[in-house]
Amino acid sequence: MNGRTLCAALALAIAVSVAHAGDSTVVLGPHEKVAGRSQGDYAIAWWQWVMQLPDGVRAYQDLSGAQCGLNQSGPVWFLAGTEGTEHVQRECAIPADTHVFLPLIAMLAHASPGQPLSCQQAQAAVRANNDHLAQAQVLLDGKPIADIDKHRVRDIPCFDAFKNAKYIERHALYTPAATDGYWLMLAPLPAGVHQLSVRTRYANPGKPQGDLEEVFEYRLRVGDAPPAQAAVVITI
Amino acid sequence: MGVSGKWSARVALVWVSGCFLWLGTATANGTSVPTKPPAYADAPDTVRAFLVAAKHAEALHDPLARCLAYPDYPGNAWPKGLAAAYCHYTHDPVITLATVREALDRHALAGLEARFKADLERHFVKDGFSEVIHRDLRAFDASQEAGRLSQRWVEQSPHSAYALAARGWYFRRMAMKARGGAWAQDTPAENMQRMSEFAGRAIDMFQRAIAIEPRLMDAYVGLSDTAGLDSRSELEERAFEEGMAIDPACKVLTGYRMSNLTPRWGGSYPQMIALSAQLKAFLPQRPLLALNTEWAQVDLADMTSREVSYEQGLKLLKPLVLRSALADVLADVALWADHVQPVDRWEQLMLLLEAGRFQEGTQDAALLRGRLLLLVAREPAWAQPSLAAAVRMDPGDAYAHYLLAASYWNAGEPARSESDYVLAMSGTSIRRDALYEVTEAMLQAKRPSKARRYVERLNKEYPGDGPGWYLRAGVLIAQGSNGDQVTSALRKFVATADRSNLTQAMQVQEAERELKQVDAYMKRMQAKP
Repeated sequence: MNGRTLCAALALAIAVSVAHAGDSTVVLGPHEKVAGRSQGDYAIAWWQWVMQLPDGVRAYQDLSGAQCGLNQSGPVWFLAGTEGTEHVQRECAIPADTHVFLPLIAMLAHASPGQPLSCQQAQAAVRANNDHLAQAQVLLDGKPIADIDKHRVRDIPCFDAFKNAKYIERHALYTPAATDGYWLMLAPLPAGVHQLSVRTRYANPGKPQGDLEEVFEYRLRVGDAPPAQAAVVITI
Repeated sequence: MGVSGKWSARVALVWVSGCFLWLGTATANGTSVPTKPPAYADAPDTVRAFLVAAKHAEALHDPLARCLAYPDYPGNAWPKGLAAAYCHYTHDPVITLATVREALDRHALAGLEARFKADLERHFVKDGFSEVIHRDLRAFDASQEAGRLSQRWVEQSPHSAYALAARGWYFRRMAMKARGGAWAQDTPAENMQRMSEFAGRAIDMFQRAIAIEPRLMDAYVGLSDTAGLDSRSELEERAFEEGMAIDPACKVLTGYRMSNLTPRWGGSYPQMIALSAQLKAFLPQRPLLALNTEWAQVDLADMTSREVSYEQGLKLLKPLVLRSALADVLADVALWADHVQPVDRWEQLMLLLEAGRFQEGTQDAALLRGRLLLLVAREPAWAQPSLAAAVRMDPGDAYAHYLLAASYWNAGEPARSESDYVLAMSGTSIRRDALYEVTEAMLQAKRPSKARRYVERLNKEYPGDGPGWYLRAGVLIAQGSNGDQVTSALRKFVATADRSNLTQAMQVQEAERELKQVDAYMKRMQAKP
């Protein structure tokens, strides 16, 4: 990538109650929409949510989950992974009747000042590692979610990952961005506590982030958080 | 602090580009860019002697040898051995993230551990004393790479004091990143909360490291500093005292302490001066402490420059150049001088070169050093490393790209200048100059078709720019275009030229003479039966 920015998103295992673990009604198929929006749309919205805050305070850098409710809104609750720098265990209260969306492992490439990038280049950059997914274990309340490889969300149009970032002065220099990766959309979980654990890894030796490994767990308390106030606005 | 451009952009190329028609001819004939002797041949004796010695040192490939061979700042009264100790501190080989990665990949952690241990031992011997252990651990910054490697290292060696300290420094720097640089009242609560979380992890790591290796000074430094960041003053004090009990002359522990004693962080100048007096007793054995002993005045100068004026700040800071070799002070004196008239450019250049001897410094410093080497000393090749560093540190700085491009061109590498000229075009205030100069550079690189593309953009975007039309005529000549196109460009030049500009006025005269001859010729041709 030679200086271009790549960010790794993190996987999140979402745990539902034991009774629902592995239940296909809990895990939406990659082509299923929520509130009329595709999962590609939500992947874009997820990056814009993450990049809304500056480096150091982003959701994937949260050590404990204490800030998992920051800037959430609408019918879909976003969870984050890590950037591969920490095996985290987070606790997060989420409202009932809310879908949950998270990257299991994903890449973002975007232009930056002095390092312009075409959409085509960005898309090629994010594609490479995702063609080499070596491990993907996702447990929901202790039960595996199968066929993770089918949850790849790709061929997403280029977008502005920093659309909501007030700390960026010249947005044009940071576009375009592209993303590719493995994501999960979960139907609203029953009220109560759920355990979600994720372990994913690329095996693309010698490439940027080619050995990225995501290990994280969420303890989700469903029904403990107030419902989001505003609707999610997604613009591609 | 930012350095505003005080020279007009095209000054950078004055001695190369000369007049446009010469340029066209030179290109057509394959004449290379004329070289001139370095302009500092006319500089004052002290300056010339310094620059000649500095240039000689710069030719050395090995960074430590280069630093040791560098001339000391003229007239200095630095403690004996300070410059050499500073060179060793900043340029001795250190453990890098690449070293750690390789050891982790090869599962050769025993060797890595031994290397850290050897460097720690050097902190406690008389012969071969070194504080390089601090720089070994300095590799663990707030980068993703540092986070991933320290995570892997601790996972594989959970009882390694060095791995724990490395992880502690990663968390410490993440804490600072989360906090940001704004005043506390301007920092969002979520940033403070996140800072505190990272600080908690860092403190845990440092405490575990100390429990395993109680002589690991960097763990005390990290513990004290992180506790201070997180407003845990009792722990901050205790960690500092415990570290001082092991080595009261540790450059890094006392340096952090000095910084934490500044009034802005709750300390006071009397406290700083008291610590300074304590440290001065160790100067004969530990000359590096001279980098810490003047800190009270450095801070006072800094505050004065912010709250009163650069001029008043400079009066306090400048005398320190002769007492301490601190690279930040050398660079700041040069940078602040830009705001105080008259500016001694030679002095600025010497200060920045001396600062660069010890450390790369800030983007501002690298940019100004490169600019002075290019425009004042007329050393384009020498300017390139500084300008390349400025570009690397801020890839979005269009002016830095512009100067780097100009340095390539002026060093006789016009083709190499193209990509940086293109990046310079993102700067609205220099876009026209970048377009103009890249056109000229492409002509000299014998790439007239590229020159044509750039001059087309120049003429389209700046139709009222006379020299742009004059340049177009030159490009067309170089391309062997027909006379109509050339005369059309010249007519537009005559119509748009700034005749109050001497060069343009002369070019207008020349163009009008040429056009007159063309018109007369055409009339004669038309008159023929």
